[in-house]
Amino acid sequence: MKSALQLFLVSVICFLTTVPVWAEDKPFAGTELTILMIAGHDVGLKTRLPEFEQKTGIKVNIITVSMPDLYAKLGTEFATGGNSYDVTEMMWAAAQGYARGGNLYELDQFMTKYHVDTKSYSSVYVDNHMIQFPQKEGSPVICLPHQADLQILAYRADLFENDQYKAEFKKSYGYELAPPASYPEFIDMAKFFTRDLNGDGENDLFGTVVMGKNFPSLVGDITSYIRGMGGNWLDKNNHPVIDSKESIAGIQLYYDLFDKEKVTPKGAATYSWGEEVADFQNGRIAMMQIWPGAVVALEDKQASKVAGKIKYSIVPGKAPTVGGWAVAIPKTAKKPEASFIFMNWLTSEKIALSRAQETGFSTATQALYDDPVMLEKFSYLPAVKASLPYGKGWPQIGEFTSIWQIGAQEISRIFSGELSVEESAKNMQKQLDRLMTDGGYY
Amino acid sequence: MADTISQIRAAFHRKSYLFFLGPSLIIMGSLTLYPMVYGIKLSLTRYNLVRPWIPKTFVGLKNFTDFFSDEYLVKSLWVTFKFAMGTVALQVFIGLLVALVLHQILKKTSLLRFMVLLPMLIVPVVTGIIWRLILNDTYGVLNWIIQWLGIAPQLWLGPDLALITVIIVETWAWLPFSILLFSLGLSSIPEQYYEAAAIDGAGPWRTFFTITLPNLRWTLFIVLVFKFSDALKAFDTIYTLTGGGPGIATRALALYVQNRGFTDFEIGYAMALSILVLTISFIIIGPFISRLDKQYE
Amino acid sequence: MNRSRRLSTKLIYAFILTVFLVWSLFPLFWLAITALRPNLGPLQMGNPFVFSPSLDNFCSVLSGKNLLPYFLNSLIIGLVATFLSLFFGVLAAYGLARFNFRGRRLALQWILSIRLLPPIGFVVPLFIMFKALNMLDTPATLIIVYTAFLLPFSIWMLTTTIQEIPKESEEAALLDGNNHFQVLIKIVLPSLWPAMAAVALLNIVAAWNEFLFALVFTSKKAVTLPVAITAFLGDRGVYWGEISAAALLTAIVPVLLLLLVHKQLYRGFGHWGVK
Repeated sequence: MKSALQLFLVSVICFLTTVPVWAEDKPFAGTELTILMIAGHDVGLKTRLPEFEQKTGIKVNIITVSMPDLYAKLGTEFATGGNSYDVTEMMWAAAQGYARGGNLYELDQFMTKYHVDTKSYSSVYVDNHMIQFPQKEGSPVICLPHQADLQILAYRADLFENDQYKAEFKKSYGYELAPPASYPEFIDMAKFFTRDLNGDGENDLFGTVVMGKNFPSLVGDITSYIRGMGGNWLDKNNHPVIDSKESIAGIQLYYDLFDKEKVTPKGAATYSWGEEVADFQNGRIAMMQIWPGAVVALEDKQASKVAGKIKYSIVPGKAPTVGGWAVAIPKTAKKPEASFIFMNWLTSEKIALSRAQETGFSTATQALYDDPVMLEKFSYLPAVKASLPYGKGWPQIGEFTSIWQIGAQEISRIFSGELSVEESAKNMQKQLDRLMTDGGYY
Repeated sequence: MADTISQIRAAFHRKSYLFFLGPSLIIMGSLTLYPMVYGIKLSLTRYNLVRPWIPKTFVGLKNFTDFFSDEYLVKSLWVTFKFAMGTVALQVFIGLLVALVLHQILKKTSLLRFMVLLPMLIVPVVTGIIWRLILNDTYGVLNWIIQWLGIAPQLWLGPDLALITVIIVETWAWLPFSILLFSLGLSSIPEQYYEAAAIDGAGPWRTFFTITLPNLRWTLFIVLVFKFSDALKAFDTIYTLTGGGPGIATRALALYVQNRGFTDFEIGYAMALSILVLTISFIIIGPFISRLDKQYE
Repeated sequence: MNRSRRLSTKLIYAFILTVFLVWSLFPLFWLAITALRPNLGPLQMGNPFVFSPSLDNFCSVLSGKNLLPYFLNSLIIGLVATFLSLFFGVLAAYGLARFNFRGRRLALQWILSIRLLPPIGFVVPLFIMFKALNMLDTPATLIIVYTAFLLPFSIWMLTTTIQEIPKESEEAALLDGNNHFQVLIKIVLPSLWPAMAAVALLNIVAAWNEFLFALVFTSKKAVTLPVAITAFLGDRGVYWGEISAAALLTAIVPVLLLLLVHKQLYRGFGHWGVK
């Protein structure tokens, strides 16, 4: 009885003495934040949030939605001045668009106050001023990098390092079998590996794979090819150049893999991510351009027959597309500073690195690419690091969803046999031209 | 005096439909009048939801005249037409057939009756996904089965078959609706009619055309009206199954409206398109409405 | 002769039913198979029927995300909206079926037009309206929206059903001094149960599965199951197994309700008598 009383008194005293400190340390105690994220991007947060909430007294609710839904939500939200979210995830290009529309909070004052070092973020986003609006030296910071994505080439090491294949390839093509350094080499190797392994008269190993489905994923995939051939969607001054000789060559290359060279599965005309990853997991594909986000699925020992047999390199055209996601604060957020404290915690090296180590989620911290734990566990990271200097973002404008829409629509019409590559390019050029004129870019 | 009271009572009696109809009209009105007026206003403007640097401008009927030069709209109208014809015809025909068979051989409540309604209960988004798995050309169970039967595997979502596949999947998802309504309609036909027909020596076909079908006409109208309107609005299944592809081969009207409204965020044009959908619906369904109305006036 | 004909008819019926049931139920069977496949993934070469089942996907759905609040939201919103649409629907249907007044046809057409307009045309104006009323992200908003958009079908379906019911006994009851409301309760309702059960079923399925309004009008507190489920559609492909498991779990409530109303659906028919 006595000891119970003692315990009670001690705890009361402890409580009384800690309260003032607590209050000083936690200026935002009691604040509730609502965070909007893409599904799957909240991995590793559930276990780490309690610590943050305890330290700051801020309560964090994370809402996850799928990608198209995110834009529908943010679109209505921003258009009508809603204030449902305190921090929201978005693609880089979207951040530029929303900032142009005046929807995002400028972060500079907080960056100074909390001594944020931008060097800790994946260099490609900082060096290309993607976290700033307008996208150039000296502009205000409007978002912080959350997830890093840069296209790389996954290839089957068990095929590429097989002595018999190596000898056979050298004999046929006159040079060594190694990760392709250019698109002509890529096509040679894709042709070489497309074969019938079980002898039933049907090809069951394919050199590579493309995605012909009318979906944004198509544009995500083809852009590296277009740029690898020297083309692009828009030039530096935001004029569309998708009908240039180079851009058409890129589209033609992508389509030829399916149509002329036949080095992809027949169904590729209707593929999107799910089908592509499944084909690679089943060992039907020799080389595939992927986002690092897909590596987890490819290396999943239970789901993938080729887990542990994959190596990674830079894409053949050496113009990998930079994707990834940023976090930003809507202008209407009620407590922007509390929002920033959360964002800063989320993107800090410590949290980003430990989340990546645990889950393989490719957070946007530069330390990822040099961390021994990461390098040992995730064999794709050196390829990403090597690709960083070549990375090119989407057209960094608010119209990017429309560019996707136009691109996916018109290019998939090539795959459905409705348009020729030139007709498709001409259609896209016309629509992009109208889009950019409307947007007041020139 | 008593006369006035009964007059008042009679007047009250005549107006009492307001008591019945009022609450519904208020609920629907409060939710739709403002959006309808606002929508019509929007349809007369150029308004981009996410690009405030494009000024919101009044453009008169430009959005509507733009329809005539919108080749994508024409394509999606054609797709929608084929889709609506296909799904409505299949749902009416198969729905009626199955309801008739069930009615002939089953008790009022049975496990089978319960089972045929199940597809409707699956979230539409998942309907598309599960069919994508089944129809996958390499791993899908459908191709596996037909290969096992010695038939060549097909590209079910490829350019040649996609629209037919989409029609079949949509029909699959919504057949329970028509089966349910037809079953209801069938069980409300009094037995005496059939007994009388049997005494007259009518065969099954004559019984069907002289008794079953005429008595099902309400149900038939309801199914036609609501399935047509749903077909013109069909979105979920197509979106998850093909995304409107390959190319734009299955991009029905609702997907096109969604593309313009929530990808381009051209909300003015999307509103004009919505009004077009409404108008087309009325043109197609109008005859059914007036027919229904004539019947009970 | 007659007997063999009856037999062949039965065979034809059995054939039609079998074909239909295979087509109708196989995808559901496949949904269950997909949900029961361990994280090996459903897209595998070889015989798709051979696999060792596990409940991993169900576990990860139930443990990964706390679905309970979404479930409760869906349940409350679905049930209340269904009840309201049915309650007001019956009243309105009686009004439209048994009264002849000016503007009746216009009212019917206007009611139908609500059902005809693509929801996408409503979303933005409604969002602005609810924001002005400070009603975003509340279950009440979705209840009102669903009630309003379920009413047209309820009213039309019930109106035509009431018109099928012979008027004579109602007229007699009116002459006996009952008012219209009493007539509705005492005479019309008993014949209306099956149609009401059907409408209730279709309405709750629609409300339970509705996606677009639920997505746009909610952000945190009033999020419903279909919106929560799409979180399984990742940005890098689909979690086939988990989404199948989630879909099956989501379907539990409509299935239970179907079991509940199923007896009502085909009961009480045929006692309207001869017209």
